[in-house]
This record gives sequence, C-alpha cells and structure tokens, in this order.
Amino acid sequence: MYFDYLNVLVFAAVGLAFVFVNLIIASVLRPKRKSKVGLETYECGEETIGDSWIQFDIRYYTVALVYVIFAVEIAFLFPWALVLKSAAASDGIGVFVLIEGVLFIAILLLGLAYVWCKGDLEWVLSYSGPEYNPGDDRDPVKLPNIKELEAALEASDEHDSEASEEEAA
Amino acid sequence: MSLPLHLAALAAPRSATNQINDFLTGVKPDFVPDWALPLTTALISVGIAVAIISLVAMSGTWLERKVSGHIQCRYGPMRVGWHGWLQPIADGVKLLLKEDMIPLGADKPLYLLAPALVLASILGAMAVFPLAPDFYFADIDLGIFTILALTSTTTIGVVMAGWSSNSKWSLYGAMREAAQVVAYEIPLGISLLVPVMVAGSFNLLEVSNGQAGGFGVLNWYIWPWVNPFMGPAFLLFFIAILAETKRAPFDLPEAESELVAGFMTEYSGIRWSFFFMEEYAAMFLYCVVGSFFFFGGFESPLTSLARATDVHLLVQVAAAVTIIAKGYAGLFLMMWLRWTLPRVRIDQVMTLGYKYLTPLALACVLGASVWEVFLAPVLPWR
Repeated sequence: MYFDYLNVLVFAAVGLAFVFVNLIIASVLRPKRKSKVGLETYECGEETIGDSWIQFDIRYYTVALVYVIFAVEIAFLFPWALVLKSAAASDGIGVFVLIEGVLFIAILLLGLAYVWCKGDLEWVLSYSGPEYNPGDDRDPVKLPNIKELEAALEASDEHDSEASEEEAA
Repeated sequence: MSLPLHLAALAAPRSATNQINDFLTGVKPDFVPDWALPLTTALISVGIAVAIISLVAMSGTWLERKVSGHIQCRYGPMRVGWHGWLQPIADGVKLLLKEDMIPLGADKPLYLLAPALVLASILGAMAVFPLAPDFYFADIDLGIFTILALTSTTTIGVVMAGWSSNSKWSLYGAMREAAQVVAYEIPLGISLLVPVMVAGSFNLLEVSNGQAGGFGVLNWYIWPWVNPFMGPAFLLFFIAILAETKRAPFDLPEAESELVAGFMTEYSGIRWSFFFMEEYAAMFLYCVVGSFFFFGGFESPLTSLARATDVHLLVQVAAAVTIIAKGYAGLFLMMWLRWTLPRVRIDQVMTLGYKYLTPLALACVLGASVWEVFLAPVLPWR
C-alpha cells in the first residue's frame, strides 16, 4: 500500500525531472540571441502600460469560499457513498444511513439556496447598493440595478420592434 | 535477485514494478552484476511513466488536428509521414529549438516552476491509472480521491503561470481558470458519488471488477437497469470534465480569440509545450476515469472472449486495449464537441456550474442513494 503511494510520488518526481531534463536539452540546442524588445510583455504590439499585479475583484473571494465549503462537504460525502451499499445489505441500518445522508445533502442544498438568494452566485453583479449620498447640497444618486436596466432594455426593444412594425405597415 | 527485502515487503505482488523485476531476473545473463537489476527496473518504470504522458500528448495533438481538419472538410497535417503521423515529433523538435523567452517583468521563480508543477501533478495522477488488471503502478484504495486531488493541483500551476507572467492576458486567463475549475470541481466530485455508491469502492481495479460479467457489456454502471440515475450523473460528469480540462465550449482560460492564449501567452517553446502535454494527459485521464466508473473499465466483449481462452497474457492485453480504446473514444468525443459548440461567456459558465450542475448532481445522488437502499437489494439482476 505504502509502496503504491510511493509510486505516485515517484511519478510526480519523474514529471518534475522530465521538465528540467527537457529544458537542459533545449538549452544546448536552442539559439540565444535575447533582445530587450523580445522579452517585453506581449500585449499585441502595444507598449505595456503598468503592472498586471493588481488587486482582483472581490467576487473571487466569495467564489473561493463557496467552493471550500462544497469541497469539504464532498470529501465527507465520499465515505458515506462508499459504505451505503454494504449498509443497505446488512439489516436495519440501511435506511438509517440513507436518512443521515439525505439530511446532510439537505443542509448542503440549504446552504446553496442561501448563497443563491443572497446573490453571491451572480457573476454579473447588480449595483444595487445603498443610495449614494454625496452631501446635503446635492441630490442623492440612485444607481439602477441590473433588473431595472434589463427592464429598460426590454422596453426599448419592444418600442423598436413596434416602430419597425409600424414602418412595415 | 528480487527487489531488496525492505522494498519487496512493501511492493504489491502483482504491481508492475515487481513484474518488471521478475521478468528481468528471468532473462539476466550471468555477467551482469546483481545490483544492476533494481536500477534497470527503476529505469524501465520511469521510462514507462514518461512514455505514457509523451505518447498520450503526441497522439492527442495529432488526433486533435486530424479531427479538426476533417470536421472542417480539410485534411489536417499530411506531409510528415503517412497522414502526418510524424507531425508531433517534428513539432517537438521545433519546440526544442525555439528560443527560451522569460519576460523581463515576470516573477522568475514562479514562472519557471509553474509548468513543472503542472506536469508533476498530472503524472502523479497518471500513476493511479492501471494499464491492465495485473499491470499497474499504484493500486490505491483511495484511487479516485488521489486522482481528483492531484488533477486539481494542476490548477495551482495554471494560476501560478498566469500570475507570474505579469501580462494582462495571462492574468485574466488565470483568474477565469481559477473561478471555472473551482466551480466545476463540485459537480465533478458529486456526480462521481453515484458510481462510487454502486461500486462501494474508490479503487479503479475493484470498480472495474464490479462490472464483470454480462458478456462484458450488460453490467456496465451506465445502464439504467443498474441505477437509472447513472446516465444523468455521467452527463454531469462529462460536462464537468470538459470544464476541468479547459476544453471548448469551456476554453475560457485559453480563449485564443479574446485572450490570445490566456495563461500561456508569455510561454513559448518547450516550456509552453508542457502545458499542452498536461492538457492532453488530463483529458485522457478523465476519460479513462469516466470509462472506469461508468463504462465498464476493463470489461468489454473483447476482454470476455480473452478470459474464455484462459491465457493470462491475452486477458491483460485485451483489457489494456479496451481501456485505451475507451479513453481515446472519450478524447474523440471531446474534440468533436470543440467543433460543434461555440464558446460560452464566463457568467454563463458560472451560472451553469453553480445553479444547474450542482443542484442536479445533488439530486442525482439523492435519487441514486434511495434506489441503492430500497430497490437494488430486491432487484433479481443485481
């Protein structure tokens, strides 16, 4: 058993070695005429402006968090799936094991429903935050949320199609 | 001489390493010193490991171009060898001769490490794939778990490559990869629960044994009379592996037409080819996992016929041919889909993963578990 795991490690080590051996062979064969222009970041011919090491959207944080929860749950569900058949074969405990699993999945689905309702699964975020209130002397700004924008878009589409129908008539 | 005592105690008797060693012991001439044997065994094992990944990647790239060509009413590579079958070797030589470019702005250690990490983890996962019932490198009881763990490690390499390149294309590619792979890991894992439930094992060899009989076809787990939730589970599994291996329609991390090559934009020459090797190896490995857990593994009419002759070697060869044929059939299906479906948007990818596949996969597991507990024990054919 341990030998088998050792083999997995050996294979991984071979993978590492394979990369570096190939690079060494290539370093003997390949030309070396590096120019500064050639080593610049590729942006389709444009000169690069600024670094790409920027802070990325916070949504990735939520996505990662949701994933971690689900991944852990799957890790717990795997052993349950493994023993379910043998539990069903022995008398009595099959139904008990099934109910436990169903409860577990129900809690999981509840979590999914919560995240869903909260809107964390929306990739295109609606910017329906609190009203932006710049100060007393200016009017507060109401940013339209995604639903309102879509409704407006649909209304304009209908208007367009009506207009074209009228033209056709 | 067999393996050194401490290793022999650890090695499984039927493992490939031991078999190679036994074979070498049998054919060893007297003038060869004893210590050369374990060394040769190790070298041959390593050779097989490298051969698996190279052959899969080379045949994969050739097949990809031929299939793409014929689907688009052209021939694909035709010049190098018969129908261009030597093209991958010509490409390999070309890539070896390419200049080594490391962008000035890149984070050099991470940039150098990324392809190595990607290849190491996929090759580690490949060790779990048994080539034949009696020829394998790692007979692990946690087989599918190990494969899932190691294949998701490649994501770290991809994100590392994208971040360290310090290019906007690469950054977007890496971030898409992170979001997408993370989203589809969930339905992938959950849909595999269904066959695990029916097989009662994580071990690929045992799962394959569980589907023996029925002329090598009738006991495959995919059939509705085994468990009607297996078909939907396989569909979910297949969609998830398309996303996991960054294949069209989920090839957003690469997305040639919008992100140039995504996380690989700054990679060139032989360094770049490692990512491609990983992609084809991962595709093949997931297809093989799919055939083990849904389509009978080593079981096919061919294997049944070979088993009837009772010749050990013939059974092994038939089983190996079966599993490799099934793996390549899966590869072909993935290539076919690439030229059938247009690329989806990232928000559609996420919506499909979280809002459709995950609840559907959980529903499949619930249905399958009820079937296994209440119906499977009373069905006459189970």
